[in-house]
Amino acid sequence: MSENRETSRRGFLGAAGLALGALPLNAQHAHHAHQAVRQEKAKGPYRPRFFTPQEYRTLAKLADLIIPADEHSPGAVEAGAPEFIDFLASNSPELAAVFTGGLAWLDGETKRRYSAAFVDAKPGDQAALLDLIAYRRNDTPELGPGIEFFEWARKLTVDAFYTSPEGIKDLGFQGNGAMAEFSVPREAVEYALKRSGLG
Amino acid sequence: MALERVNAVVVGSGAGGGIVAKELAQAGLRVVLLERGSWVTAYDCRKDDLRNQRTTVLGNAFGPDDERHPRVVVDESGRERTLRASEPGYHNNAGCVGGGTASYGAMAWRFMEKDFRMRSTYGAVPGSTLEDWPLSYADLEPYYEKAEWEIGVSGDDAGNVFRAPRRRPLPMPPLPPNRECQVLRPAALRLGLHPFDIPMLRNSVPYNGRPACMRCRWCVGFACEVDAKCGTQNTVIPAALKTGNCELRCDCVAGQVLLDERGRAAGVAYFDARGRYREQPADLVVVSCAAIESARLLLNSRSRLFPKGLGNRHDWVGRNLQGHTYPRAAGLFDFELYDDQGPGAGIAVCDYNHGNPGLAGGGMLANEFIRLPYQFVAQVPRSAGRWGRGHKEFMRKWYRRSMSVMGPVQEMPMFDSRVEVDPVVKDHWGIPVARLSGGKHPHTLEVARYMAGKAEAWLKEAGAIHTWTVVPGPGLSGGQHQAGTCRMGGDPRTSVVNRYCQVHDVDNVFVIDGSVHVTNGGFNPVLTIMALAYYASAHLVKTWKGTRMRS
Repeated sequence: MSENRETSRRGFLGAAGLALGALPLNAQHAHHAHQAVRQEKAKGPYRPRFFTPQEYRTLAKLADLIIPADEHSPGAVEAGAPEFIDFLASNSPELAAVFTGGLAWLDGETKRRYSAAFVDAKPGDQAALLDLIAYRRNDTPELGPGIEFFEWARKLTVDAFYTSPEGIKDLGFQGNGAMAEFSVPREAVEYALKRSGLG
Repeated sequence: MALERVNAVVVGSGAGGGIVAKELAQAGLRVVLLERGSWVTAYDCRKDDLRNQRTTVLGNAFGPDDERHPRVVVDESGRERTLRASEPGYHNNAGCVGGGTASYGAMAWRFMEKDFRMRSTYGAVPGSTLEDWPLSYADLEPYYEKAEWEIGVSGDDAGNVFRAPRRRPLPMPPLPPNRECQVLRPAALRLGLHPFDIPMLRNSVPYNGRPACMRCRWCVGFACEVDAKCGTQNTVIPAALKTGNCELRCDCVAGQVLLDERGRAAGVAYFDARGRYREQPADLVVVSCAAIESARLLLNSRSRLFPKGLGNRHDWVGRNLQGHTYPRAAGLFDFELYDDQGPGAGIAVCDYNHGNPGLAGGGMLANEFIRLPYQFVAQVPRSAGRWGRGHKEFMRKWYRRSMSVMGPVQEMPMFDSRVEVDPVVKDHWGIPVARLSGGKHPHTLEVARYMAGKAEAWLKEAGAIHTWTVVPGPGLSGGQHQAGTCRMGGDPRTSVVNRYCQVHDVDNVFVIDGSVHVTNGGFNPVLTIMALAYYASAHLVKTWKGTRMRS
C-alpha cells in the first residue's frame, strides 16, 4: 500500500493533466458506492479505506465547504461525500493520485500562506484560498494544480451529494428511486416485469 | 482454423450496420455481424443517475471501456494527448449492440431538401469543403419512411411548415407535452415561429410488439427498461437473427479489411472475444463503425495496392470529420417547470435551419432532455459562485425553475479536421489507434452565436426572468453525431464512396454509417443514417451477385 501511495504522489503532476470527466473507473464501482458506503457505516464509524486520517479530515472539510449544511438541509458530509470519494479512490489509482496530490497541495499552500494545515486554518483563510482556486481566471503556474484539483473535488462532491437521498430531497428531484406510481399502459409494466424474471 | 466463407461481413451493429445486416439476411445472404462491444441491457445499467452515457465521469456505461481503446487527440495548439474512452475530447459514441441507438435521446429527424444541396444553396464557403450530396432528399424519402415505420417513430411534424414533403405520416402520435413544452409552445407562436412535436424513435403507444414509453426521467444516456425506445438492438437486429442467416459476434474487434491480390476485399481480420486472431472470408464487406472508427479501419487496411489505406488513393479517407456545434440558452423562471416527465425534450422549431440572413445554414432548436441535478451544476452561471451556501441555494432555488433551449448547428466541413491512424499508439489488440486533429470552421461558430441568440429570445418570450447563452469553443466536433470521414460523391478524386455507399476503388466494400454524410444537417443525424442504410441495402440486394461475378 505504502509503495502505491508513493507512486500516486509522484504521479500527481502528471495526473493533474488528467482532464476532468475522465475518471478511469469501471462504472460498476460508482454504482455501488452509495450502497457500499451505507453498508459499511451500518457496521459502525466509517474507517477510510484509502485516505490517511489527515487527508480524510481535509477532504471532509473541503466537502463541507463546497456543499455546507444549512437551515434547510444537510450538506455533503452528512450525505456521505467523503466516504463516496474515499470508496472511489480505493478503486482507482488515477483518482487516488489526483486526490492525494491535491490534498497535499492544499495543505502545502495553506501552510505557506497562513502557517496552518487547511483544516486548522481560519474560516476566512480557507474561503479566500477556495475563491482563488475555484475559478480558471486565476490560473497561474503556482495555482494551476490547485485549480485542477478543485475541479475534481467540486465535481465529485456534487456528484455524491446530488445522487444521495439528502441531495435529491434538497432539490425536490425525484431521481434514483422507484416511481410511486406509473401512469403508463399496463402492458408496459407487465412487459418489464416479464423481462425482469420477477413477474 | 479458417472460418467458413459468408456472403457479407458487417462491421458494427449500430444504426447503419444493424439495418444492413437485417436487409441482407432477409434477402437470403449469409451475414456475419461483428460488434466490438457486448449486448448491454437496461438491467446491466439500471437506472442510476451516475451511469449515463452522456456524463462520462464514471466511465462509459455503453462502452467502449477505458482500458483497451485509447485514442490520440491533437488540440488546436498542436499538443498531443492519449485519451481514455470516457475522457472529454475522445469523441466517443458507444460500443455495444445497437451502438448509439441503445442509449440515445432518439430524435428522429429527416434532413431538409436544402441540407443535401448546401453548396448550391450557399455557394463556396472559404476554408470549407462544403459540397452537395450526390443524392437528393427525394431519393431518400421512401427510405426515411421505411425507417420511421420499421424502427418506429412517434411525434407530429404537421406544424413544421418547413419540413420536406412526406408520403406517409409518422406511425405513432406524440407523447403528451410536458410542462416545458406547454410553456414554450405559446411563446414560439407569439414569436411567429412554427413549433411542433419532435419526431422520436420512441413508442408512444404499443408498437411492433413493444410497449409504450412510461415517461421515466432516465432516457437520454440510458437504455430503456421497457424497450419503448427503438434502436437497432430491439428491432432490426433481432429480425436479422430470426432469419437464421445472420450470426452476431459480440466482443469482436476488427483490425483490417483483407484484400486479395487483385485488390478486392476478401474478408475481415478481427480479434474475437477471447482475443484470438480470426479471418472471416466474405464476398462483401460493410463498414459501419461510425465516422471515426470506420475511417480508422479503412486507414489500417493497407496493402500493396492501397499503401495509404483502403479507398484512400486521393487522401480523402478520414477528412471532413464533423459533428454538431450545440449553442444553448438557459433561462430561470419564477415558476416551476420541472414535472419529472421524461424524456424531457418534446418541442422544436425549424424556423432557423435555413434562410438566416448572411449565414450558411443553421439548425433546429428544441428544449433539452431531463437534466440530472449534477449535470445542471455544470450549467450554473459563474455569478452564483462555485461552492458554498450561495451555490447550494442557487441549485435549490432554480433547479426546478429552469430550462434550456439548444440545437445542432449544421457545420461547415473542414478538410483538415480529420481522423488518421497514430504512428505510435496502439490499442489492446496492437491495432494503431485513431488520431484526431482539427477544429471548427469560424462560420460554424458565427451561426452558433446567432442560434444562441434565437434560443435566448424564445426563453425570454416564455417568461424567463434571467437568461444566459453558452456557445462551444473552436475545438474539433465529432462525438455522438460524428460524420463526414468517408464522403459520398460522384468524383473518385474528391470523395471515398459513390451514392450507394460503395468505395470507389474497391467495389465489394461499402461504408454505411454517418461517415458518408457530405454535410450533417442541422439535425440529429440518426434517421438519415438509417435511411441511407435502407437505401444502400436495397441497391446491394439488387446488385450483389453482379458484384461478386466481377471478382
